[in-house]
Amino acid sequence: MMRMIWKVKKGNSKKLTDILKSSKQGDIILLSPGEYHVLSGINIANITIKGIGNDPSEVVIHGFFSLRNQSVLTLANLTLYTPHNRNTINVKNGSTLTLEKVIIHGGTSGNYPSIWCENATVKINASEIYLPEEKGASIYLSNNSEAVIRNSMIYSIVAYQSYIQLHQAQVRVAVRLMENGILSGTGIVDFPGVSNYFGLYMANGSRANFDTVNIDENSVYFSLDQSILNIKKTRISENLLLTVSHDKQSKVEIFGDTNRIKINIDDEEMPSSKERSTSQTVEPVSKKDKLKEEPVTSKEENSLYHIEKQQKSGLEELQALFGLHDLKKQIMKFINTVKFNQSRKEQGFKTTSLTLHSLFMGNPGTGKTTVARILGRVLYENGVIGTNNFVEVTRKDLVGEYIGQTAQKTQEILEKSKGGILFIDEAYSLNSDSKNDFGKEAIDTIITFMEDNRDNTMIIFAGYTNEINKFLKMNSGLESRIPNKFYFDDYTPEEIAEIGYMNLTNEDYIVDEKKYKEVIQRLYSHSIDKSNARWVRNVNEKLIQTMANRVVETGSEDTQTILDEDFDVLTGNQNVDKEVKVNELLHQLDSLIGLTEVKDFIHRLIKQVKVDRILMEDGSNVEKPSYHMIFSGNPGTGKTTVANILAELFYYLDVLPTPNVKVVDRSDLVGAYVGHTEKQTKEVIEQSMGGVLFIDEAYQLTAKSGNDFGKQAVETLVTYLENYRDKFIVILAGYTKEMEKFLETNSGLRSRIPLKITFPDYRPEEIATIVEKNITKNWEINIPLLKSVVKEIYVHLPDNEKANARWARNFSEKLVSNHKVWLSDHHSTLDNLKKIQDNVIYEMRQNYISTTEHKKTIY
Amino acid sequence: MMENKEQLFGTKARIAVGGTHVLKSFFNLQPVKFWIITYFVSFGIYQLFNEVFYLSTNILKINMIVFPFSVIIAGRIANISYLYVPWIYKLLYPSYKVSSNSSNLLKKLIVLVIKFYIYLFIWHFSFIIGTIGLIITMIDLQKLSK
Repeated sequence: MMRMIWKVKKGNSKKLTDILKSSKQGDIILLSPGEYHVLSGINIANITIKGIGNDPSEVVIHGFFSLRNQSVLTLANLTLYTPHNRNTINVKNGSTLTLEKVIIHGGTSGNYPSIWCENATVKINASEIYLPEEKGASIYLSNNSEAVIRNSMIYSIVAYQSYIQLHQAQVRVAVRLMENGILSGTGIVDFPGVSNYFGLYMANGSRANFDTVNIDENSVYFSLDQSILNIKKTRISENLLLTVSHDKQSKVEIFGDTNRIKINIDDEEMPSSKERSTSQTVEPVSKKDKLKEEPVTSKEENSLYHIEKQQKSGLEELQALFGLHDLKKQIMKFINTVKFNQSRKEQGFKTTSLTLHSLFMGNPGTGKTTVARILGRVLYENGVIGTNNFVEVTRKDLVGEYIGQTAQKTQEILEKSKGGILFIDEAYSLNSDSKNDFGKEAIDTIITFMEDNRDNTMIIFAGYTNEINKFLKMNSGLESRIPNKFYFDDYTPEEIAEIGYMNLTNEDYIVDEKKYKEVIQRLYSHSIDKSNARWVRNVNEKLIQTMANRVVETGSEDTQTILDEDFDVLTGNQNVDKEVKVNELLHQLDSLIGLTEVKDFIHRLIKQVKVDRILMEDGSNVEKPSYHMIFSGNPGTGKTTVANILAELFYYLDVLPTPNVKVVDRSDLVGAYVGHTEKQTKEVIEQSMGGVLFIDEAYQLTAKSGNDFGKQAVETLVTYLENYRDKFIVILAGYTKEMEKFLETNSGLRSRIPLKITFPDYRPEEIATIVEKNITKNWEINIPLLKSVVKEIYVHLPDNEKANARWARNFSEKLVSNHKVWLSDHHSTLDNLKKIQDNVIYEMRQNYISTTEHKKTIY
Repeated sequence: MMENKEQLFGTKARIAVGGTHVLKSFFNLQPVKFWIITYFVSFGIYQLFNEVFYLSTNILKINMIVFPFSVIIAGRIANISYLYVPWIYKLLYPSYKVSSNSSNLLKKLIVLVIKFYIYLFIWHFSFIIGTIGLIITMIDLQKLSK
């Protein structure tokens, strides 16, 4: 009896969901400003939901609603965001939806109308219905539905056997009336003509009456097919045109600015391209078969209304698969050939027996098993194979452990799959170089079966392309018996992101689409894991685990929304301001002693990297930049230190997914016997993927002459330098002259390593400063004396001992060691422990000078 | 070119509101059936029990007028407790119908009797509860008319 007025505090999604479930007829729910998530999909029974903000944008609901069995839903003063691939509101069976001051943002795909209406009524007042894609429809009406739209803006509306009343309304993209659809336009109806579609498209006995049509932004095109159009008044701005094209069965009456109205009948003059100043094309908006109703997945909905799901046909399911465009064409060609054969057979003509056996080649996660299952269904539905039996096996199901067992096992599997589909995953694993392997026995058994059942059973061999090609060579009769080859291309990072996003939203998680796709694309671009859809599934699982951990730890009630901080944890960037980190690292670089040219070079490089990244993100057609580089210079000039800083810089600039630096030399890459080097080099490269591979003394790889394995290491490296240039960075380090010679040994090397940094030797003053920094970290010392002594010693050192910063480090360690001996000899008090005496410095000087003099005497 | 399209089409469109709109909205907050039944009950209590309550005639008259707003408050408390304390809902929700789950006639009768005394109590203090209810209803109306 009583109508309840519920109030929901800011963003309390759980309370809103609870109230929606327990609300009674006529209840009113008032929502405070904030965001609410009701993604599980709620069936509504006669309620009003109203935002109590000052503006509709202050109350935002992420979710979707269903109205059935004469239900009534009134939404007012709020904004609705639809989850991916759903209708925002699905209205059926005599239900009524009223929108007052509501903004609806439809799903991103454009395939799902924001409002889906079957035999129902929609009343829209002072509202805005957006759809991001022009191709879709904001509102879809069918089966005697009625839409009354007043003072509102809609993108597009499609009506089949339905009635639309527009009063003071703006149609930004198009109205499409089909199958006796009726439109009554009172007041002003505004057509801004913002898209390439017909502003009004009418067909099959449809009728439209307008009081006033306003066209003042772009020229607009109407098209009629067996329909009637009546416009009492037009308001068309100067230089704009209303062009109406219709067939002879249609009737058009338009009054108003007749000089700005052009009517074409049938094949009469169509508007020339010049006249179409606003690049209008003449495609009708949204064909019926392209628009989709939401998938009915809500458990609640199923239990309440017992909606029977109609299973899609195999072909529909194939077309519904994401991506795989080329493959779908290949499969369709194959299916058409099969169908053609079938129809000839039915007509009693001779047919060439069609072999069904196929090869499915591609990386993991590209949909081989899924497509095989669907293909099986298609063949079954078309009567090509007798059963819808799908048997999936791997080597272990076919190959036995002892002689004779394999043939028996394989035969059993073959009999089981007879008349259906046998899918042999990783079929190449049946191939082995060993003569004692039973895989060959399995193949021989399969070949015999294949020949006898080539047109009633389909055997699919699946696996990596290269491995499958090797496998085919294993038995001369194999390749000729498998004529159908299907190639499964890897998904692009964009496709991977889309698949991942669809998976998440289908599981009722809420995620910022832009952020998610950005992160996934970046991670996948850097990943060497080619497991495609499986990769993104694993990443999604990690993301959900991260989110679950946060939800439990913080006691949050929102178990649907994945936050930005979850992404940060996933990518290891939590609580890190990347810009600050980059500046810190540049400061660290600048605080290194000397290396002025190196610093300048890196500052310039970082600026270039930033711009490269912006261009890539912008989608500008720029080649993926290569940042491989050569560090030439003597030992101790800071090459490894700079490499570490660079790796971190690239990490925080999102060029590399990890800040790791793997330092290797010849011994890590070059093997001891034939084939060893390639394997060892590959292993090292794969370990360093995502970070920096620093090859110290790289010239040593080709230093030896003759049949040295070092050259193989270089050849392997060159392949990776090119193919994985965006996945890791290689730094080759060594003496300047030797590195020049090294680059000449392989023509591919120089062209693939565009950057070169020369590390000059430290000057004596710089060496003195390095020693001073090393010592003064923990000790007190007479700095002017120390610096003058260090300079003096370093100047007098033989060239082969001038090891730059490494010498400075050794000198510092020796000085500290001498200081400790001095302390022990002089029974120094605790007060003097930290103070290095001048005598110790003089002693060091004396030792070095005498050693140097002694060496000079010897040589 | 047409100016101020924003004020013609969309959420910023100016829509004319009739003068009686607000008053109508006030009574539209509850169904007509609610007002009829609650005023009928209120009048009945006034007639039958006015001598039982030791209240002045003015207070009794105020109670009779604002009793429906006391019922709104009682109903609201009942609804809030529906999910968490269902027995409060059973005793307080303004309906003579007892839950159909209860098959025990005696139990139904006891619930009805307790409910009757609760509503007598509510009627007695309607000059307080009802006034609060009236204020809350006006606030609701204000929020709804945004």
